[in-house]
Amino acid sequence: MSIKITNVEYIYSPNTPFEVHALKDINLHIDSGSYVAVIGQTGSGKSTFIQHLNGLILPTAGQVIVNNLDIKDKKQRRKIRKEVGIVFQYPEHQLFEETVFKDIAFGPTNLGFSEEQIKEAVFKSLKAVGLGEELLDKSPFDLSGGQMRRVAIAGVLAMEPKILVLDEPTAGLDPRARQAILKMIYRLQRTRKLSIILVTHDMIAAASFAERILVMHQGRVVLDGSPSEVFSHADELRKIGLAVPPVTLLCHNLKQSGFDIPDVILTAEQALAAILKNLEVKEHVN
Amino acid sequence: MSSPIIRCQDITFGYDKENPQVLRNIDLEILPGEFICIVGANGSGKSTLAKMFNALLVPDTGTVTVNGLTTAEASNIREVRQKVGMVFQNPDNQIVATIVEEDVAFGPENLGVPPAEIRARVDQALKTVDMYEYRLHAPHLLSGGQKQRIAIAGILAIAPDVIIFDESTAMLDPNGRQEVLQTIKQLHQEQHITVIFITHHMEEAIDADRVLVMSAGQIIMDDKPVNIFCRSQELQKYHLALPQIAGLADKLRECGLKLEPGILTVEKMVDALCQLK
Ligand SMILES: Nc1ncnc2c1ncn2[C@@H]1O[C@H](COP(=O)(O)OP(=O)(O)OP(=O)(O)O)[C@@H](O)[C@H]1O
Ligand SMILES: Nc1ncnc2c1ncn2[C@@H]1O[C@H](COP(=O)(O)OP(=O)(O)OP(=O)(O)O)[C@@H](O)[C@H]1O
Ligand SMILES: [Mg+2]
Ligand SMILES: [Mg+2]
Repeated sequence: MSIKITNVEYIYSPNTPFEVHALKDINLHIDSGSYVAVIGQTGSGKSTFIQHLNGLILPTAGQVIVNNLDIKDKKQRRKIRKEVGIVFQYPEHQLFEETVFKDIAFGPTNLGFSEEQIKEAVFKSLKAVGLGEELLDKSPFDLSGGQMRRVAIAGVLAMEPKILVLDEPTAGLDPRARQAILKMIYRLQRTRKLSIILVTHDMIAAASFAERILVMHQGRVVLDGSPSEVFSHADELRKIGLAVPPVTLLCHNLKQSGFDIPDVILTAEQALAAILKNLEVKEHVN
Repeated sequence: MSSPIIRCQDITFGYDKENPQVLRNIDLEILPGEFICIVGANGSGKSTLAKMFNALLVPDTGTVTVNGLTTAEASNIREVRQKVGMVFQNPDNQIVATIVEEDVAFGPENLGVPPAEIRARVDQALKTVDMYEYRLHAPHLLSGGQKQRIAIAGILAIAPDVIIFDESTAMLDPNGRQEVLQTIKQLHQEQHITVIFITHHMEEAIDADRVLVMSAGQIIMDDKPVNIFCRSQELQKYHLALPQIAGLADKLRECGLKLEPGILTVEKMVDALCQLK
């Protein structure tokens, strides 16, 4: 289920004083089953971009093709929507049913799942996001911020999409839940061969989980590569409001202070190994 | 020692019969000018406690006072809200007007601030959060992070003594988060605003005067950041984690490196490791 985006432009409120040229000349091919992180400054166009993937927004110019279907065609769009699940930024706005169960069941019900299948989908996705069954009868509006967010993610998972798009899914989650959701997303990609598109301001998450990172700036994709490629551009990233993970910065600085360290370190584990190597060498020399 | 600006005495609170104990026996004093960070698992009671501080909620038992005023007294509410402003977790809940500058003016207007003064406060607040050029835009059409800044400006314009930030940097990019945090630190230092900062990002707690850790409706740790971040095992039990560098320091210690305690930042770590080399 690949995505092909050609010469896409998007303009909000065209021909008004508030016209915003939010996407400029986007050209991308995203392979089936890949894990892509999208990073970029506030207002750089990330949310606008991902809403093109299921036709919530139609390009002002250019073409979006998902699984050989054209998003501009109304009939094809309906098919695309079954395959592309989007967890929105502030997903608590997606909640509206009177109980958590009904909320998670909404998608599968709409897709015509049987009673049995709906139940199964609800329990499975509730477990995947790490919530207990005691919440099923509660009103989603009586939950804490983090709990609401998990319910919203569960609601999209329950529709079993092939492409899972998540816009800042971990904002507002506590560290354990954040790690759990990121691992769950990673597992879905590995085991169910889902394509993942993760929009995030969490550089540590992008560095640890993605295979490919798109960097957006003022409506354009300005960097596109593996995490090590992208995070080797520390200065450019800083200029456009981003950062490298703390351990990446640490190892970069250590290298400049004479440590022998590989070019780009992405995770704490890699940093640990690289630092120990340097200090062990020292012990031998002494 | 000055007297506390906020004091909670043995407060207990529940939303309904199913959640009778959302806050349990909390005793807490916050001094004027403190920078306090509250961390804790989802659902541990952080937002509920914060709402006690500006009388959005009142305790079932026990008392909360702001500058000596009991929040349970209806006649005190106006003054309490003027003293304690709150920037919520989700900025959409705070946006009330269709033009950014009107939105920011809403608070001071409600408090009867004279128009010329409002104008000055709104401009200043928008400049502080770097959104002045968006003053004529429609807030609901801004990006997530931009809305967050407008919400902060709206509280700044009320000029409260205490500002509660309930995950107000959650939707910002790394730079924006740094900038907003810097802005908050500046307000704290220059205008002596008392800051209560709720976050899930442990790095943001590093520079606080005090960190409160909440779990299941109680404050279970209340200490300086360095003293909190050396208790990594316990923190994990409460669904928390160390800042990335502090976590790495821990692992290096486990491998036998003699690192001093309290290494929380990249700079400190580079210094410490260079000394070992
Ligand atoms: N509905 C809308 N109408 C008009 N302009 C909009 C609308 N939504 C977004 N914009 C503008 O389009 C640009 C891109 O916004 P978008 O929401 O895609 O950014 P983003 O990268 O997702 O930002 P964030 O990290 O803050 O969520 C911004 O300048 C924003 O103000
Ligand atoms: N309006 C409400 N009605 C009933 N229960 C509520 C309500 N708001 C919160 N709760 C419950 O009270 C508990 C504490 O919620 P609170 O919002 O204070 O947590 P929090 O620490 O701020 O969590 P988060 O990090 O997710 O924002 C949770 O168990 C939650 O489900
Ligand atoms: Mg966005
Ligand atoms: Mg909260």
